[in-house]
Amino acid sequence: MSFRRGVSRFDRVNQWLQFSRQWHVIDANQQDAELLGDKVARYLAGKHKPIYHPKTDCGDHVVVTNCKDIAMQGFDWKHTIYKFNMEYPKSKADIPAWQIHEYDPCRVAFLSIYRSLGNNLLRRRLIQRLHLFPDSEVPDFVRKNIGSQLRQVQEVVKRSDEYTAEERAAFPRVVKFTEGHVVDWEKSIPNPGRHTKPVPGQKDK
Amino acid sequence: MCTFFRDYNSELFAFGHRIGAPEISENDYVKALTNESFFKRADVEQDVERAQPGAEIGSEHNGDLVRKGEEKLSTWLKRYLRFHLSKAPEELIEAVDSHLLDDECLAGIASHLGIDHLVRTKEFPVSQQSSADAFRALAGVFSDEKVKNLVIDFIVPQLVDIDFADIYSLADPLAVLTDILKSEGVTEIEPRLLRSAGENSAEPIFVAAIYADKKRNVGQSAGESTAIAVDMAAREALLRLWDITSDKVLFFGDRAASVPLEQYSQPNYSLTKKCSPGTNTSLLSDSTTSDPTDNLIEDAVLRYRNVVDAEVGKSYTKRLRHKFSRGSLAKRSFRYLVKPKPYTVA
Repeated sequence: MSFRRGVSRFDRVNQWLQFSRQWHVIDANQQDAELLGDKVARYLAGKHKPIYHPKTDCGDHVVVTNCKDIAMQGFDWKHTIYKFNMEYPKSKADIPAWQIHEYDPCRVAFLSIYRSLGNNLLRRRLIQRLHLFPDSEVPDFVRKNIGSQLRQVQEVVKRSDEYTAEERAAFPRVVKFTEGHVVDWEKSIPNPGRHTKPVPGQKDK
Repeated sequence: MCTFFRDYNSELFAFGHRIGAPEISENDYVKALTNESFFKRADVEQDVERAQPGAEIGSEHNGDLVRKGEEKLSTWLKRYLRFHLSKAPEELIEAVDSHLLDDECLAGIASHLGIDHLVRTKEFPVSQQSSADAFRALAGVFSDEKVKNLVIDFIVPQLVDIDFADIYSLADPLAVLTDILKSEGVTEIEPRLLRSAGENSAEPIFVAAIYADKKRNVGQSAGESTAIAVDMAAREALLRLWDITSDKVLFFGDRAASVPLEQYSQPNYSLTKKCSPGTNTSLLSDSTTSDPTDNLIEDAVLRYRNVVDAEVGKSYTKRLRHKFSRGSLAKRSFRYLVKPKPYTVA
């Protein structure tokens, strides 16, 4: 009909609700880098929403905490090679994941998420909505934004040194050790440090 | 004028059938479609040859029919609205009624019925008011039963375009809601924040709900600030109380015509009387809706500079500009950082 209503109050608010950006948080502790990358990329691109379309700007923010504890399977820290090519002479480098992780604990998470976003121009904008933090400390202004928590991609297992004495006592045993038995794996052995050759004539050490 | 109007009488005959009232005499139609200003037209006044078609028939205008028809239309429309919105206050029904029967809306209906081709008036093109008046005058000519059909067939369908929250927008919905709920026996009414995201970002979103007695969610809505979210939630709660929800089924056509609407002549309750005397039951005026808000952009920039920059510093695109632009900025060679190393890629 000739008379049509404009955008009403509820229309405006519902539109805002539909296209507002959510802020998700996910803990990367003991999470496989590949699986985590796939999951986070899905949320960054907004593929979890029914309104998703590549040209719909509906991606969400994702905050990833504890990036230093991200996990890889088997010997992947050694065998996952990240290739870099600056397209200048002598500017190719293949760097294993552990070297990158040693220098920047957030970079492996970034690289796997960036790769999961696919090879397209949109990912440069989508990756800007990713917020990586090496440990569980998140700045206050980011924490205030967070509105939902994502389920982790893998179950977090308890390390053997995290069990209390009661839990150890209650654990079903097949073998009972004798009194003087040394259980050396109860606690990880501290790094004794590098052996230094004593200088001739040096008294102590 | 174009030849289409030459035979005004046959056009009238066709119009009578089109609108479903062929039994009304032609003179009545002419009277209803004649505006007061028609007789002041230069060609009609001077009685020229081949003047405005239909100039020779009828010498009465529709002034009294307009008033009569307006009343009839309003009566039937209010009865229809009261049948559907039995829990809504009379103020809401009056607001919907006055909106649907205003000049703009009626002129739209009249133009779709072809009335503005038949209206006899001084001005050209036909103004909204005279074409709406012609429609009202038609209702004045019709019998009561016909006016009911006219309302159900032509005016009621416009309801689908109406947003009930906007047409009766209270200035202080939360206070009104509190009064209504307290009269129903609810002791405690509190707005709660259900969800929020991006409080410090450019697009904050808050979902607020109104809870009655800490148990029942009576209405919830979203908004870009808590104040707006609570306000909208109160509006939603009021609409829910008045049984105006998105799944409300309105009767149209034969289904509406078969309803005994005559039984709904008694007005609904008045909101002003139901609320306590101190409560603000006035409506939002245009000036209050467009009040100047704070400078959001300036706030965001200052917040970013003081809070975010202080903690995380400048962004990588600014700090590591050499990595984001391949060209050299100060004509400096970057060969020394060409070879990627763990400390250059990360």
